[in-house]
Amino acid sequence: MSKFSQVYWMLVKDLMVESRRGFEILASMGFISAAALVIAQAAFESLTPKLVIPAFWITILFIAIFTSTTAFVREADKKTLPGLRLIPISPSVIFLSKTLFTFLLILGQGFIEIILLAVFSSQWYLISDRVLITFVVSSLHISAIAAFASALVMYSEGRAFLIPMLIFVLTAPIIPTVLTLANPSYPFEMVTFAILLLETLIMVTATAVLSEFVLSV
Amino acid sequence: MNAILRIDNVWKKFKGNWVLKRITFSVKENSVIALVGKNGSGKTTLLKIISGLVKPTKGKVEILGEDVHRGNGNYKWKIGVLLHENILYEELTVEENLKYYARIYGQKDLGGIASEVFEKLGLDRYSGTKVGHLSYGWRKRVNLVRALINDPEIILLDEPLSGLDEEAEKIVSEIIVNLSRDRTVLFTIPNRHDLVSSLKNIDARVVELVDGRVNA
Repeated sequence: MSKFSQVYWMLVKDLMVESRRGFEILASMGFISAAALVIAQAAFESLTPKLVIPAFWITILFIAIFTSTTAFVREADKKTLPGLRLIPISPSVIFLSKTLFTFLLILGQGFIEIILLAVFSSQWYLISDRVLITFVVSSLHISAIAAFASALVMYSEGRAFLIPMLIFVLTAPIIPTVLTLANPSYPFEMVTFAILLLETLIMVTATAVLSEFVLSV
Repeated sequence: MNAILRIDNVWKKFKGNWVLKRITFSVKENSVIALVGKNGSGKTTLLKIISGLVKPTKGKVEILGEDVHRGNGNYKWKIGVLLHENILYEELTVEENLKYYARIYGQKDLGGIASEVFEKLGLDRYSGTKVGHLSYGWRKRVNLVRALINDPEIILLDEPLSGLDEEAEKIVSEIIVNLSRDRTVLFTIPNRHDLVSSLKNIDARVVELVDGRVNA
């Protein structure tokens, strides 16, 4: 049984479970639409990339906070975690599958947010290569952090506080890079993009390695 | 015959209290162990330690020669565990849950023994029902099939008969007796009376736990 296949089946299972949770999907859509509307309406006359791009990434961080609870926290709450721990899959493979799941959820919700924001505020540069590619790479980075935060605090009573704190603190180093790369007022520098890629790779690897300790407790 | 499962001087402390003290015994291939003990005697904790879900404070557990808590987890291919609580996904149907676990073990569908037990337990009529919509007893039956999905050599069952109606209890008892013919089975049961009344056809070695110790 290849690790790829195990990741695939875990991912399929998580997506099926998620698709059956109608109220959570509705809540997420409501938040995304409201956020797009508020950003667009708040300062329609003076909307510039300097305002829209950071506002978009703040929304993505909130999406990451909501989404992180679907990874390990829900397994702990629903008492399905022993099932994960009894199957012959290494903790790092379980973690990578949860990271990928979180990534797909953030990606899906983020793309809807981009489209809504572009339509509501007529900021069409949001649907450009540079914004989209920066969003995809940074989402993977944020997903690894969100899944890791979820695993780290799944048994803690203070997780409502700890998850946002961990996500804000651990994503802080990449935010200036992301905002520079996505803003059409600045030149898109390949070196900066390569740094973001490298940081993402390091974060995914580091959290996967650390998950061996977190999930085997 | 060699010991397939070895529990060596296992101690467990929870919130300052020793719930398991100096537990040592080994289990030979194709034998049956009934872990008997009242509520709070530590039998569920011991079963979770054996299956690798809980780490002992002291001591070690070996399954097929591998240290359960420090090894690389290969023993997981060889064991099947039924826990007291439901570990299936409530949002998925019975069929989807079982298929997911089968896929994880590299199978396309239920294995021989799991498929046999699935039919015996009459689960086919609930295949398309979400696990969240099933009663406790039916969930327990599905969990039992899940525990057998990988055709395990060692089967660990935590109070397999509790919460079942009379008919289901009879069927599950028969299944345990059949499983014990060519596999190693360790199950927990609250008292000796249940063992005699429900599992009278089983030739089990009884290990009694009293206040976290094996009662010799």
